[in-house]
Amino acid sequence: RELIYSSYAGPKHAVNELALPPWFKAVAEKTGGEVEWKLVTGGQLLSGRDTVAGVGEGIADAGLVVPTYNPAALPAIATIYSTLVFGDDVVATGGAALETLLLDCPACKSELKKNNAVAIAGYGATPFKLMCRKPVATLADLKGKKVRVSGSGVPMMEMAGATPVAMNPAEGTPAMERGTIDCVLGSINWMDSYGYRDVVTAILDVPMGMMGPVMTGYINRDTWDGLSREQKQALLDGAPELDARGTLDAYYGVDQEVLESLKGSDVKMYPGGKDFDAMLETFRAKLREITITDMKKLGLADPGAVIDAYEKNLEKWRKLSPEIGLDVDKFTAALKREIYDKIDVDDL
Amino acid sequence: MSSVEVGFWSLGAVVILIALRVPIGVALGGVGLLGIAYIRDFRIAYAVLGSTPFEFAAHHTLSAIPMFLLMGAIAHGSGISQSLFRAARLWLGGIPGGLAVATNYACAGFAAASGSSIATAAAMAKIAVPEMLKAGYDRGLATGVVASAGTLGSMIPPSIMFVLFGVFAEVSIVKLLIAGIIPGLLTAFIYMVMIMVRSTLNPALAPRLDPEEQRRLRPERIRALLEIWPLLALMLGIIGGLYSGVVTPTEAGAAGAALALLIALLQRRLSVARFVSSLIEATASTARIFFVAAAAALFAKFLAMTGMPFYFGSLLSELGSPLLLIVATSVIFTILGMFLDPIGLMLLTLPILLPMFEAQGVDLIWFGVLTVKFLEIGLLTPPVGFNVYVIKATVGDAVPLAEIFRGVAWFLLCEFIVVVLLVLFPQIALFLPNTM
Amino acid sequence: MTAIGKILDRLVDVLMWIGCLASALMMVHIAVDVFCRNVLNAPLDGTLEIVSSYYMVTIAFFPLAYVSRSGGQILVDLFTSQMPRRPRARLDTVVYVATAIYLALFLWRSYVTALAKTRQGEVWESAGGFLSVWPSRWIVVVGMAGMLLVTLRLAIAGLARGADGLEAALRKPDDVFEGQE
Ligand code: NA
Ligand code: NA
Repeated sequence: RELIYSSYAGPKHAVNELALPPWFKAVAEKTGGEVEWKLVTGGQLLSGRDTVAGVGEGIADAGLVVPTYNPAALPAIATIYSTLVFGDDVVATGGAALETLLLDCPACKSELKKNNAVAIAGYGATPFKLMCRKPVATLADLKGKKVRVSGSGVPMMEMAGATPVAMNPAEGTPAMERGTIDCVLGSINWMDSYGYRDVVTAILDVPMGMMGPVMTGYINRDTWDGLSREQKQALLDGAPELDARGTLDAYYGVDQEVLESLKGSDVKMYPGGKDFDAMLETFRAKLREITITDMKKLGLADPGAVIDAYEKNLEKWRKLSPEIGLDVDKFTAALKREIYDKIDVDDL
Repeated sequence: MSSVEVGFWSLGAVVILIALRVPIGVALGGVGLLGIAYIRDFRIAYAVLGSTPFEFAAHHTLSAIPMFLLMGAIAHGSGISQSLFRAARLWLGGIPGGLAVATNYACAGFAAASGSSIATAAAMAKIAVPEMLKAGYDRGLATGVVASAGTLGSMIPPSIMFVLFGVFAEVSIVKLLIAGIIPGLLTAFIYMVMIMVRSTLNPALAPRLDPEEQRRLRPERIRALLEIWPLLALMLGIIGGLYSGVVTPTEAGAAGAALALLIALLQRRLSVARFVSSLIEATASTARIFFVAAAAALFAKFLAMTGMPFYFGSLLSELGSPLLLIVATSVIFTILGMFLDPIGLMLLTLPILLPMFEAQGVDLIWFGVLTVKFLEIGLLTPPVGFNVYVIKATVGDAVPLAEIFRGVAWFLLCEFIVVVLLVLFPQIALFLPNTM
Repeated sequence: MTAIGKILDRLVDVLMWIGCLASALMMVHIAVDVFCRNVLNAPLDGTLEIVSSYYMVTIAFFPLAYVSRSGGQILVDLFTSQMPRRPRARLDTVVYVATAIYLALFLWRSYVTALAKTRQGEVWESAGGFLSVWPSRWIVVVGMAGMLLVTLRLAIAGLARGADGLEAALRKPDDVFEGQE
């Protein structure tokens, strides 16, 4: 069977180049060519916002889903996603987000059913950082600066005294060049994927929150039900590596490459300081409250329970993380052991 | 029949339906719907129909189109655009095709404020076409020059298309934008040469002021120049707002419409009735164009499902030399560009083409310029040519669609020359970005 | 028929007025946002999302009935402009019937989508909160319904009374192009 995978990300995006192809290949091999994925990139079939509905209706068999593009459809999963994790432990965040989604979130399971979907894989993104056209070294520098930001970052920037501006990320580069905005809060890899490298002169090297899971394995339920037990198992068997590659190769790895290439360039890195730490600490306390209020509005009965489960898993994965390091194989093995071995193929 | 064959037959079906007076939006949407139903199933086709038009319309960057249409309608309704063409007529009346040349460069200037070709044509259509028709210009030339020079909106920065290409290809957006400047100006120059040559050979195309009248009107020249300040203020206001960072290219449309309204009010030249008819015109034109564009987006999804892009990819992968690859790519761009909107065209082709050009060691900045050039050409070619539709939507019944396409044909000839020059001398595109 | 026709005409006009209002409001809203961001350093929350989901959808769909009533859909008359009046009216009638079928499918599907999105309470993330987007799904339904009714009327007029009927049912817009005086 040929299955269609719809990715809204551009053809050269790391997820499409580094994370998905090995999974597709592994699945084809394991099923003896019975299940072949065809990757359709760049939103040719479904835009980021349309992927949840489009996969549910079978326009594509699976897709790349960012939960907060459809918060009303996926309020519980969006709760995990909106809960920013500070620091830069991508392994802990990625592992915990996935474990919460796949094992410890009954609300996630029932909302997936409602959307005629099955979720089997995802990854954690690297921490957002502030990239600016003029140096921002202290919290005082950030006052009054116009920052392109979305989601949970909006109240954070408000707390920091900056002015949040809504804008398509692609419009951000020319907007920053002309001073329509001063900074953008995003992944370091945006320097290349959205071309900020040409206009950014300063990066504030303070991790301002990691999000996850971005769902790579978001599959139409009818498609899933139409697969044999062995084929389903083949998809699941490849999932841990897909997760690990998504987090470490596609996100962390690309970020490191970008950072490496910035050394010796004109872009200055600023380390931040206690003022930022204090602001983020206050914000962390407030974020839980904001997320709970927001998600209750969307009809999620107990967002607190989802956040609690996530935080418990975070604690666990923070302990596992030093052992794993940044090793794809070790992370894959840990994901398999801690999460996927506990999943029943017939009960997804 | 294989899916790819279905794709090719569907192109023919669209042409036949359009020839039978089926509205173009209905032809594209209907064939796309049936096509998806045939190669997948009706349920999926129906799901695509349910989501695509909303998704297409609910788009922030496209908001520049209704707003620039409104700006043009206000500038025309309040008479501030007529003053510019009065001045152009007095000063350039002796030059062959003077008004068309003036329009050509007004479009180029406006392109520096607008990020989209369709929006540029929208803004200039109502300002320039009626004046040229009044002066007795050939209808094909008058409409063709605005449709064609409007495409400079994507080549001269700012440009939404270059930004999208940059995001897709992960190359420097700033370099891409700068790379568009010289090819854009070169295109405008070749357009001008063509207009002047044609008007010299056939003066009936663009009636000149006779020398007697020109002498008589000479004293009025200076006064006419003084009267153009409102339109100059409008254009400088928009370009200034953009380059100082006050507005984004998308917001420039709304800011321009508001500024035109403000200027017209200050001059007391806009009655309520005129303002309302400007609104009606801009709004109706937007709906006309979006109805077709949303259907083109649906049709693009259908073509994506047929696997046609992969089929073209496998054909191209057998070509050995970069030059053959470029020629074949040009043919594919031209064929698909006849039917698709620019974004759909880029979405369908770039995932296949980018890796090939990269593997051949072609400079992707240069390839970006070539791509945008072909997106522009696609806006002008029948049967689905959005810049032509914009003109059609603003001129109404005054000029038949076929006549606008005929007028555009001359400009397409110029585009062909520009493409050849770009291929032979890549430095035209690469000189400026390489100095960075 | 004339009574129904009058009601339909009124409905088409109302939709068009709302479309125009959306154009004007969008211009003002964006201009005010630009002013607030640059002068007060406090942009209006949610402008981008409101522009995309409400104004743009209204401008794209509400005027379609008005455009159809004036025969203003973009089409090519190159091959058919020399056709005699009656055969051309017959061709047009066939096209109107086909268009009506397409629009009816489209309308039903957008109704199903709107209902689903309403039940779900569709929102977009906006300025750190949520903007309800589901109401704008109904804008599509209403706009398409208006266009379908106008097209049906044209189809029926063509079927019942041929070329005369079609010409009577098509109404040219009031703002006739001025370059052709
Ligand atoms: Na431009
Ligand atoms: Na075309």
